[in-house]
Amino acid sequence: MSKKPSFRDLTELSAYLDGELNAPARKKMEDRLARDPELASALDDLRLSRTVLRRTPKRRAPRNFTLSPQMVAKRPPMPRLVPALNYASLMAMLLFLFSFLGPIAPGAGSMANQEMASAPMMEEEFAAEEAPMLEMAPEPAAADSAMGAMPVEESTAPAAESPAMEDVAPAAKEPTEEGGVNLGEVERTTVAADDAESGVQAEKTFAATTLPAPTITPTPFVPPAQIESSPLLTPYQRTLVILLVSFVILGWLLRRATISKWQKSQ
Amino acid sequence: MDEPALIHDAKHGDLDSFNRLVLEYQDMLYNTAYRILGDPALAADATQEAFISAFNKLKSYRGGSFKAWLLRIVTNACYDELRRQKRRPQTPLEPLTENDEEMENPRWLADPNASPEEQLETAELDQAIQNCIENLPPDFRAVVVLTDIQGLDYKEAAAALKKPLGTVKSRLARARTRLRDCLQAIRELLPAAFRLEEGSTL
Repeated sequence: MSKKPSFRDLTELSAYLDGELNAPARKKMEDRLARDPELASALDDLRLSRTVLRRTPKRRAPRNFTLSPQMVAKRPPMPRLVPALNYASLMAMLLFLFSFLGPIAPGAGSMANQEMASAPMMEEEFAAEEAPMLEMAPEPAAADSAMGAMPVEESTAPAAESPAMEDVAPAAKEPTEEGGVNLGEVERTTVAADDAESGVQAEKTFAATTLPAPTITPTPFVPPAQIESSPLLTPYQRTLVILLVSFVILGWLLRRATISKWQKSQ
Repeated sequence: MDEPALIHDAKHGDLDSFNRLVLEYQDMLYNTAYRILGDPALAADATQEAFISAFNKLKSYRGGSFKAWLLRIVTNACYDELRRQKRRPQTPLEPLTENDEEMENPRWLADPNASPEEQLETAELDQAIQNCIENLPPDFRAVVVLTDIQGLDYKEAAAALKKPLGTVKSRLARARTRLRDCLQAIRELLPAAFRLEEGSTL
């Protein structure tokens, strides 16, 4: 006649085990337990579970969880607009920085001027690049001798006193004549090299004539001068800076107002 | 310890009074959190959070069992943690065997203090029981921890969980039934004392 206890039976059994049934229900359960071995077995199982759980070792707290005043210090609420303003000021800042990098910085009007200015600049750059090439020109004509000459041209005065200078000077001269190019600068250096044979005094003039040679190359760029003379910030940038500062100030004022309101309510 | 007086003072911002209550209940809250979460570090965090929250919400305490009120807060902190874990599941740092299977008890995970045999057996039993508890759904887990481990009666458990008495009753029965099946597997680990108690009076 005994059958497997239903879930309802188990619920009642569990409550009976904990002494949570009222007197009539408890009496009824005791009668059933006496008659039904399946129910009695289920009660034993539930009791075992409960006993095991009750006997689980108690763990001590690994540390004290006492609170310090800092841990319970209440923080004032953040006004709702502040995050929005922070975001707006962040956007303003990004646009401001971007205006330095992007082409929108000088404004639409000055775009043409910039393009115009870039044309002569390119010519000068080309000239600047050409100048060293002229000095290098002798190389393909008499590679060996020119290679020997170059260190001498770059070398300092004491090198001229050595007999090697006598050999080198004509070598430097040859390519200029054979090349057939108008290499005034190289000629000047070779003439100076001939004079160098006479003594140190002449060598000094050689150095003096060779050094001014690259004066063509560092032709000053016009745009830097223009930038220096132009105002520090464009109107666009100034607007962004004003926006940025006003957002920050507005956010700060709102926060102050919320804090004082919160302090009064405490 | 004059609990009502301490609660009264703590309600008016006296942190020292509240800290005396903390010292009284910290083991109970930590144990509850540990049994629900199964991790000592997470349990410690949940306990600390629960005490901070309790102090801040002390004005909402309207009498009744302070113990049940605290247990409700720590249970909620544990539920929050379990929800966080569900959102960000973590991969255990257990090494793999040659067959790409997780090594369950690597040497470096062993507790160096558990060298004597008895300690080892206790630890094994404790861990086995904890595994059975963790196999329960969180709602059932909380009921069984509060009633069977912390010894709350149904009324207190219902107050702590903010659930009707009938719900606590049925959840507890279901949890115990499930635990029974799990505990069958670790029967040989159970000391003789447990088996003797089976026939004891209620």
